[in-house]
Amino acid sequence: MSPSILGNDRLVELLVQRAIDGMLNADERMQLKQLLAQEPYGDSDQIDQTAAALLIAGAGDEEPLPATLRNKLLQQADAFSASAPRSVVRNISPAQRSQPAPKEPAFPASGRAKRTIQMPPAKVAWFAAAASVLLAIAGWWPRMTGGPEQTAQTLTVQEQRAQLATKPSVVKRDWTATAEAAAQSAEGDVVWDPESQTGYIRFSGLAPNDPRKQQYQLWIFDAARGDKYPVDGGVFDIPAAGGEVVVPIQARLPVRDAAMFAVTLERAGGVVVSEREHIVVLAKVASG
Amino acid sequence: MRECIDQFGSLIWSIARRLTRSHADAEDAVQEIFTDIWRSAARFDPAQGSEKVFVATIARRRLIDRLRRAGRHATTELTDEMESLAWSDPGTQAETCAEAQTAAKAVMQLRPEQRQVLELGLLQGLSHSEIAEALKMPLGTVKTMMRRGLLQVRQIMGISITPVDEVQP
Repeated sequence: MSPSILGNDRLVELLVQRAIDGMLNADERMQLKQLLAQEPYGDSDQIDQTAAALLIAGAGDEEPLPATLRNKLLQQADAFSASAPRSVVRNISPAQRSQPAPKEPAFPASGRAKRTIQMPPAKVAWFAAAASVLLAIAGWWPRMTGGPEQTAQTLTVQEQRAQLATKPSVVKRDWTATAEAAAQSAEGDVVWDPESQTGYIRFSGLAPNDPRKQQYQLWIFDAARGDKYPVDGGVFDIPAAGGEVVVPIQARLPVRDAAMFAVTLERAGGVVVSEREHIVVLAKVASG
Repeated sequence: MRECIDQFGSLIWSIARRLTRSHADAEDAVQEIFTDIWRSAARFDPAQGSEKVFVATIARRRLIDRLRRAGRHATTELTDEMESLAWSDPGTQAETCAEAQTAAKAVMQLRPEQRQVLELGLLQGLSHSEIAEALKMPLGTVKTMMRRGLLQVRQIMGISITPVDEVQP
């Protein structure tokens, strides 16, 4: 049985600090390295993995990978497999997916992991296919059916917006421009689906911004939270080229009861708390 | 690797959008994360946890590094009632991951102020110092609450390290 990190307070402290703060200073890095080398800890990744499990739990609903980014990743994958040394390319077997209960493994994990290690890049594709067939036959293919999701991955952001807008649960409101100069010709709308916690904002005529100096930022006022701390809906840019711009909403926290959407013009990178000095458009949801 | 992209792309994209400030930042981060995953794939050990947690761990590390390098934190929204809406109602990401479901249940057993410290650190990407500043708490208190909170969640999750040799079919 491997020793546990729980027996060493300083080690736990450094692992938590690395997990939360990211970077350690040189002394801390050295100390962590030395502490980890002292014993063959079997749980040294558990702090990071607990943090990751909590992040998944709080990540909300899935947002489909944009089609353009998926294409870039596919190209990147091809380039990687062509250039990577054989020792670093290993297929993550589809059959290992969604096996969330390490306490009750349903298959000979170590054996399969060893079988899939260090495949030559050229053999990865056929190996994955062969492994998939064998594992499916074995009857424990836990893969989720993902038809709608895969369809969404091939849609543009405009198409995704249009598709979402057809859902009965969606709230759709037109923007009301304020007296801000940037909003003089602004129009567009917001669509928000409280069920999936996804939505899109659409603009035409909103003044282009210089992303190095200022960016637009979306705020969602949640009636369940009060208007003191609206939920950050992400920052975005309006390019100089003009035309219609559609931006996916990325609510940083779940929104229970969206009462109003607002866009402010902030310094580059956005702000934690807006001074609300430059509100450019508003869309009120509540009728009251 | 194509399957890896399709299987985990939405998860990584969703996490990246949460811990970056813009669409463009998120795109860059996702590309870096997939390279990290491919490079680290040989380290995956199913006895330690699911693939989903494995890739989320890699993604989170990369995103936190990017945040710190950029010298700015992700976002801060404080709720007056200190109620974690995110964990009280996990979304579809958690539905497909038993560890995440268990983690969400576990974190809801913590004291609200402790949960808020974890929420700011894990869901909003704030450092210990930034959390201390946001909550007007001493740094040492924040570190203690974070450490104890994570260990409590881990304990409630019942993570046990099973040596690979002991895993039976």
